[in-house]
Amino acid sequence: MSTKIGVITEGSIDYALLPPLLSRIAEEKVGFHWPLDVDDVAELFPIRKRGHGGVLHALRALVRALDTQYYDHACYVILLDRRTRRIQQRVRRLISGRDRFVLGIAIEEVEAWWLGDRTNTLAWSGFDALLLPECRYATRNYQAERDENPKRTLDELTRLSDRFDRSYGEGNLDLATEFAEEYWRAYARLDEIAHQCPQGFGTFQQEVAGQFRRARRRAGRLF
Amino acid sequence: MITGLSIRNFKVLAAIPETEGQLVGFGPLNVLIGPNGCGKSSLLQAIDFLRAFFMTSVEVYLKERDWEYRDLPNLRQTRKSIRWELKAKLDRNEEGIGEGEYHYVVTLQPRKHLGVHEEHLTWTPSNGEPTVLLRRKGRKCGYLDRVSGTFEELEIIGLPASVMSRWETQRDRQKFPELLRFRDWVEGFRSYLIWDPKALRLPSRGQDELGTSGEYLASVVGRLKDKNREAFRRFNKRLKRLFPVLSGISVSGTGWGWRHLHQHEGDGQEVAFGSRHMSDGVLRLLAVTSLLYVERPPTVITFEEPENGVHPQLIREVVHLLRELTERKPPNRCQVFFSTHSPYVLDEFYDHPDEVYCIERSRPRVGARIIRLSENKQLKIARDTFRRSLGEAWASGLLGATAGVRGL
Repeated sequence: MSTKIGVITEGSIDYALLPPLLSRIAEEKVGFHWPLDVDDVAELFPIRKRGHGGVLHALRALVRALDTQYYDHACYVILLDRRTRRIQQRVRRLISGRDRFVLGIAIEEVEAWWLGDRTNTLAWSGFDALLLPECRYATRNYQAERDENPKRTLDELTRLSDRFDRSYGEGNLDLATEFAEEYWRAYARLDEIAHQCPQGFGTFQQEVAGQFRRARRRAGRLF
Repeated sequence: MITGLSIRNFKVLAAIPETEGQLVGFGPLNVLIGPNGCGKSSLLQAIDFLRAFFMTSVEVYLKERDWEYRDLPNLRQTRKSIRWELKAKLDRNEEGIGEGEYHYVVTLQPRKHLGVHEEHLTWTPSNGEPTVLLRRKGRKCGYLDRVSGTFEELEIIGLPASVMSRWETQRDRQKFPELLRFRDWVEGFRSYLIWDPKALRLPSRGQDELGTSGEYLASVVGRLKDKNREAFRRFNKRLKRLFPVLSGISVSGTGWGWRHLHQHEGDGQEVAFGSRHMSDGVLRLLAVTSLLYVERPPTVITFEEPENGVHPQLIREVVHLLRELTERKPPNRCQVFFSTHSPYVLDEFYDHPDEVYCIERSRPRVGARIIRLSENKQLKIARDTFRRSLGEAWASGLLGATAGVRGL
């Protein structure tokens, strides 16, 4: 079967974080033991601008192309923020009746999933869970999915930590890539993220795992 | 970080802002848009010109740029003095000194013998009262000596620079800690013109910071490789993300000797090209990216069209890089001012119109006006009409700051 997964995301941070997470879901939940090949759909259908509008634009082009052409992706994963309700409706309309699509809605944004993996986030930021300085992430009963501004929480965390020479700001690609590659690629704690982000990540994880299983079944029928 | 600025009578900037006694507010990242000749470069130059007061003489700065003092005042009226007023919020330095807000006023008389006429610096520490650190008017001058605790008064004759330029960093640090903190900050200003590929290509030695047109890139990258392997690895990784065909950048030569840049392509059977064969766009992006990883970035960067010569899809990355540069932690915090003519750049500021400044001149012999885009009354209409594209809204003319040419 194809190990190629088409990904449509709003920007570079989402694109940096999503592939290792998909690999971990494939490995831990479905039992794939080979690497996934993640393909940026926006490369196939160039868009002038990313963001929510870019996702919709690339998806429209992909859906049109799929009617006439063959692409060997096992499935397509779309990731949006919760705030984009109108775009979400349009995306849902576009992919309804098509079986190879998964739409993930990060609440509020993908950084909440990052913060949801508390073990890795603390290891990456160099803090001890018991000695976390006073900040939003240290509040009792912190729930990543209820965080109104996960970017600001990450920014606060990076400001307080001595490990970094820069803060996260509105999205720092170097920091996101470092976390994705060095922590999530091999050690992402999916259950922890699902527990912290049940609505967004929990649902997304189930749907992605389902797609991977279906892809394996389709491949099994071929051989 | 410069939080407020007022400029009077500098080049095309007759009065910025127009209302006397007010300051234009700035944040960590600031982008200037407007037609050619409206005053974008003048504003960038006016900011960088502050550095001139901390050289031995303002004339040194003028000579470096091949400028004449007659060209500095608005409409070449050398009888009027040029005035800068700025507010800056500074973090404490490595010795833990100088955190607070600084209010600096300086006037320059652009006559045959250049002279600083007025200079004033007040410091307000966080949770503290304002303290006058320096006062100078004509020949009379006074400054606060922290060792004796007295305000020393004296007469100065013929010093075409700031009083602070006379002090020695080591010897006078005890006496004037905040004044020298302010001076160090201004001395860290750097201005970059549109990167010149010819300058970027040149082998270089001895310099560890980029020149105005991108000179010394090879030695800057070389120093990065020598001094901080981890930062160099991250620098290479970032570049590989921007250019998938690239397998890495290397620098030949060692230490302070001549350094040469090389671009590597392909996995396994790798091919290396010297900087003479590297593309202009790659070199330009390499230079912008290097700013993010150098040990000591400039405190304030003024930049002319950093997106120049870069593929439209990578322009987004240039803006990202500049934004990340402003997110470095103290004492390496950096503020960026840059001008652009690209709607693609403006697209990246859809959610941040407060970071965009429109500069305009309504007619000849009239000074420039500056308006923050977030204060533009048309902004809401423009954003509703041109969803997700501020660049298109700008190009349509709805936001002003257009070229004003008809019939083309």
